[in-house]
Amino acid sequence: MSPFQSCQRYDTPAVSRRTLLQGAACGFGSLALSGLASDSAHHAPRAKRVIFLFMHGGVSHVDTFDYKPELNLRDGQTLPFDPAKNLDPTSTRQAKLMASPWKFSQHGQSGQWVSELFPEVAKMADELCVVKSVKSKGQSHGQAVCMLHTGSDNFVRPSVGAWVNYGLGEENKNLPGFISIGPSATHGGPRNYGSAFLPAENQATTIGRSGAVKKDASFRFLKPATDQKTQQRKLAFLEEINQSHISKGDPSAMEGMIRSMELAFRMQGAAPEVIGLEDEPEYIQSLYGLDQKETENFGRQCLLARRFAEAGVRYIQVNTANVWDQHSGLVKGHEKNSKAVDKPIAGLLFDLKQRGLLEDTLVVWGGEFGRTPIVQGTNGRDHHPQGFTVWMAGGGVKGGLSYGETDEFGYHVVKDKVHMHDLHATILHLMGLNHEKLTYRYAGRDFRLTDVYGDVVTDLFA
Amino acid sequence: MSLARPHLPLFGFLLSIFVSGPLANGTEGFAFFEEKVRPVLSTYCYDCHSEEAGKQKGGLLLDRKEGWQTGGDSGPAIIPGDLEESILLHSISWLDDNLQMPPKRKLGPAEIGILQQWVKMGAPDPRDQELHKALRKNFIDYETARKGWSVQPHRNPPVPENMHSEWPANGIDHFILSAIESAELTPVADASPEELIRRTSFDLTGLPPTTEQVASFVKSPGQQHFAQLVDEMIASPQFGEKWGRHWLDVVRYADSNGGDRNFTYHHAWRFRNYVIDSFNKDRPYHEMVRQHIAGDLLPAANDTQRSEQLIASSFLSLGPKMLTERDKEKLYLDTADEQIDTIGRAFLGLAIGCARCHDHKFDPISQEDYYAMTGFFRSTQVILGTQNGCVNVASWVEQALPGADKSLAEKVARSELVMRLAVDSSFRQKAGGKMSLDGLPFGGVLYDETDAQLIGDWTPSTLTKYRFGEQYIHDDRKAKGKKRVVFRGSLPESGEYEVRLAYSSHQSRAQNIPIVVHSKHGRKIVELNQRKTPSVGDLFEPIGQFYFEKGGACSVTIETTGTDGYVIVDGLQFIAVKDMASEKLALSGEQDIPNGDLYRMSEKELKSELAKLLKSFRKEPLAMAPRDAEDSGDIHLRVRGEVSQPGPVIPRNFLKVLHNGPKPQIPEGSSGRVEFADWLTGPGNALLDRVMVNRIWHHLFGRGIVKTVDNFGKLGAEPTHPGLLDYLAFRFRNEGGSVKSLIREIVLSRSYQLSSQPTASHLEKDPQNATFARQNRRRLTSEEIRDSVLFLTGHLSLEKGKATSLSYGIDLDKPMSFSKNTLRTVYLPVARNNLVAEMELFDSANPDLVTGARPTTTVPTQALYLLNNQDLLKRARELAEQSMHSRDPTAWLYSKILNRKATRSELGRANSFLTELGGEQPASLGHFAHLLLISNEFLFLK
Repeated sequence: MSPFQSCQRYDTPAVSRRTLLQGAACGFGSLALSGLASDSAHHAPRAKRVIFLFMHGGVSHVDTFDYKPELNLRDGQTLPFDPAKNLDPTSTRQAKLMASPWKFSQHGQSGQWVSELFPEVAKMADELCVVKSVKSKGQSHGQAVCMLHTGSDNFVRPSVGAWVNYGLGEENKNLPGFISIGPSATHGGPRNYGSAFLPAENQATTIGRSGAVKKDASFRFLKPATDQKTQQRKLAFLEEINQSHISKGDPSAMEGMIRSMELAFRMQGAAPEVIGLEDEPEYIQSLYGLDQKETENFGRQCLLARRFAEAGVRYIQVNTANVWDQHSGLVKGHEKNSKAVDKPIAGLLFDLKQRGLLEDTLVVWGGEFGRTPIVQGTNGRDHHPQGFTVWMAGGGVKGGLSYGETDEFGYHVVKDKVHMHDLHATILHLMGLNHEKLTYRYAGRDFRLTDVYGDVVTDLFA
Repeated sequence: MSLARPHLPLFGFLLSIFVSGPLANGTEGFAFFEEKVRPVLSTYCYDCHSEEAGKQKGGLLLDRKEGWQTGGDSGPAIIPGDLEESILLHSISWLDDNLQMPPKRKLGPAEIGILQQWVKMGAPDPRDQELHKALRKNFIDYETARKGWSVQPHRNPPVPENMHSEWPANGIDHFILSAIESAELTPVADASPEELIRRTSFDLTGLPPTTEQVASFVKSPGQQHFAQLVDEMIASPQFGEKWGRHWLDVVRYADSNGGDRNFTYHHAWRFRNYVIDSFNKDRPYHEMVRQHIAGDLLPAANDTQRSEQLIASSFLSLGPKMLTERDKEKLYLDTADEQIDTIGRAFLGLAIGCARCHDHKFDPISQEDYYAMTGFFRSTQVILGTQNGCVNVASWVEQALPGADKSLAEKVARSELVMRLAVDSSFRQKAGGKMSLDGLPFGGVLYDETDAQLIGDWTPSTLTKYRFGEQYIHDDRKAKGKKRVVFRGSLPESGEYEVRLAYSSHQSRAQNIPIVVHSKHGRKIVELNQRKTPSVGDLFEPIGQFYFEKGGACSVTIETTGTDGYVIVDGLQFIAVKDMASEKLALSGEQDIPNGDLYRMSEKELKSELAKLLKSFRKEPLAMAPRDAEDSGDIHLRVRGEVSQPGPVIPRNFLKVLHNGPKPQIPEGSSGRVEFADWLTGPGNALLDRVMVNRIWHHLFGRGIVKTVDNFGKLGAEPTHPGLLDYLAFRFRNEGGSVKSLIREIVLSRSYQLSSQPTASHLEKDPQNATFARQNRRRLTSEEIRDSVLFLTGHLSLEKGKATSLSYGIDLDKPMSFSKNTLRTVYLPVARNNLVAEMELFDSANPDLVTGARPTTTVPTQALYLLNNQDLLKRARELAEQSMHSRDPTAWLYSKILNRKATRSELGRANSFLTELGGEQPASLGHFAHLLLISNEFLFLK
């Protein structure tokens, strides 16, 4: 059965209860039978799950991981290179370079360059596979954020997580396969974790709102409306009246609804355990920075991410609010933001590693674009999709690697360009999916995450 | 070659190191090729451009001479001897963001030098394999394509004869029965009266029948009584609300932009109500579609009609847009693309948008077809100005409705001027034109001489006090001809601009200064006399009016050759011609003139004026209607869909597969949408009718005759009943496109009234119900779930909703809830990217996409919602309290909620459940009512 045909409609062929139970056994939500079976990976995966740490607003590459001594030397000078062609010439006519206000130093055995904005992450330098030559599309947030999440800067397309979920199905039958923690409602909002034309169950289930993932953050409608005993009795009676009503030839969604009620009940039991952080020992909580005000929010998100990873969620996205957009006040803004995420991210990497989870968990860190080496106003940087940095760790990538280069100012990519499509192809590949084969037929066309582009960057593999 | 590309200054420098003669062929050239060129090509290019690798990306092969001669999508890759026009050299220079080869890593200077030298030598190439053998060129065979079933002209197939001639109730049944009999089946039994009235009521009004309606129909069922009920339902306002909602799915209706910024569409609701009214008054379908496409341009007999038509054309503006796109031409083309894609899928079931970058892979739609059609919509203005004063955040066109207060149209015009001035002023700041003279109003984009490129020595001066900016410059009457000043302009939008030069006049100035203006229409030389006092504010002198394209050629060069005095340059201004009238008023200094004051406002003041105007518009009678663009006309094809890679100009035309006649005659300056709409809805286009009757069939049978309701292309499904589809489409057209008549005919057919219960032989021979030998069960829609729960408890308001999104502010990003509102769901705001939970959960249409068939998904959150949503529990409890007034509360709840009598065993089970929960009291009855409301029998129509 092709995925297209299996998209659940009331006109789909009758499905026996047995088939449904088998479907249910391979994953929560796969009831709808629309994901491929979980053994349907195209090749042996290097990673079983992804944690994507999204730095919304565009973190500066030349101030964090892409060290440019020449830029520092030429602080205040006019551009020694042609700015990107798609930019308005008036806005770059009087452009001047701006040195990074932060010191860089080398870390770990690999000698990975990291600025003083990320002292904790720097301690994990040998785990990082730093790609310094990412190029994306979209000069504004809306386009670039959608490009990063869906591979399209202007059309509605399924998000990376939805494709992974669609391709692999869920690992844990009591939890969704794709969870986004604290996603933003802006710059496309749900489109960035949505399923577009893929079956709806592939979209992310969300927890918490942007910038404020509270202590009691939970999934929607998870809280039982009545006491457990009453609910159990009600469910039993509901099952009774539903079973007496069903007959052969009824749409499979009716069977689906019966199973769904049971699963919802189980999820009510299982999910609170995963999302409750109280049982984490104190030293783990402080490893993620839960004990400090600045790091508490993002720390909670990272710790939730680890727990979801342990529980078998395929694709977990952790989001900062749209805070990295320092058109002015670069020093103040980037210092505050990096302070908020540095310790939690380092804690996450360390914790995954000590639990043996890092080897099959791919951690990806990045924003929708980098920021210009050119000053904006007196102390800001503009958007820069022309060449920026994304790093990965764990999940089959080479730790300690620095890959690709921008020019000596951090503007244009000059070596080993990795287009956003290539990055997507690579992430799918690591998860065991071939980006050219993972297609979905919609409105007369076979769609891919990477459209007609994308090359897997095998140089990054361990 | 038509490709416009920047010059490549790099080459001049590199070239000087080459010692190569004129075009060299023969052995010497071939030797150079073999030694130097071939290794570069095979190492860096063959991976993607050779037969051996099986790849010809961009349609280009570089493993043979004929490959680069013919070239790929962008034409020949190399012009022998021509360094500037050879695309291959351009692409390896990596100067163009959209065309960088090899894509991963720029070639080193040595390799680039080799390829340049080779081209200079005339590109000697011994590789003479034939090209056509390697190319898999496919071309579209329109003749064959026009024979496809979906694009055929109308035909009226005869009604088939049946074996069981007593069964059919009308023509439809003959077709259905004929297919059933061919499959050696018989139709299942008719639905029970309870089932039929519940199904029909939901299908026609989106609400359950009342207990009284059920009782009366059960008492006296039969076709006559049924027809009477159907007529009542079709005549009720609830009919338009139900069927209007189906249509709103198709036209991707929403109350906010979605895209990158979720701005509220404050006037979209008028379109929603227009749609509902259209279905209620049975507006002919063809008229409705014509109004969707060109309502703003159609003649109107009176204000009411004009108003309706304007509102109808909001259809074009309602899509999601990337309003922060900085490349405005891309924004215009993306907007047109969204419109075309929607028009294609909604009206024709064709994925036309697929042909933006290349010919459609499966359907007979070429890239040329696409751009011929895009011409109509690129010539239509939707995008306008700015929402918040920022040049990078665009807004959209809104028009005052006729019959409103006369001053409204003036207010709208004022807001558009504010937008433009705000954009201009933001541009001006970026351009560095920071200084201005007090009391002098400025519109447009200004450049100081410091923004210009100076060639030769120019002397700065502050001698004349009345000047623009801190200083001005002059040529000191020396080195005439060797000095010049070049202003390179950049304008916020395409249009007709007046160009003005600032200078201080004096008898010592030159009278014959040549000024070269490079605009869309090429270079033009104008002579300027600087002894004359400038006519605008004594500072700026008009040089002429020119058409500039956003991002296109825009430069003004002040020459000194042969001039007879000082040449002064103090600044340059581009002002939109349409703004000059109000500028003139402003300059005259009278304060009581409309718009004059705007010219004196600072950027901040303009922004706050804009915010004020936009806020005041929320309650005004405006329509989100488009209009014809000032730069209407045919447009360039875009190579590989890249906005910055223009190909040939494509005259506007209709889709070739549906139109075999001559190109339409489009009046100068018009978008041609009227011609397009006339063609689309004309009697020759049977596809339009086929797609619509199939949509209606889909909603009444749970599956279309063509299963893929939005795709009638090659990858769509074939019709299961082609004769029936043609029969219905023919009648639909002949009866003037009456949706009500068609629905009535279908509902009164016996086929519609069948039970959904299959027999064993049906399950065996036709498990998918391809024959329609039975009805299909369907789940209630998200709207039906909410509306019917409110209806059952007596809370549903049957009033017509209006601007329900009004109170949500400038965007629809905040969490929304419908729980306090009792209007029908169709009237509540549809926020893109932010659908209300219960709408999204139960598969409301995604308002970003054309949705002719909603999916029915099963996700655990639905179950969590049904189990735990407090509103639902509250409603159930209310029903329970009502039931307490009856003799038998459980029986009452059964007939109220499920529209049927409970069986004795059901009542027995219910009572033992209630006993467990504490007997017949409101709390436990509330739980019981809750379970009936979330039971499959309630959620899935039989």
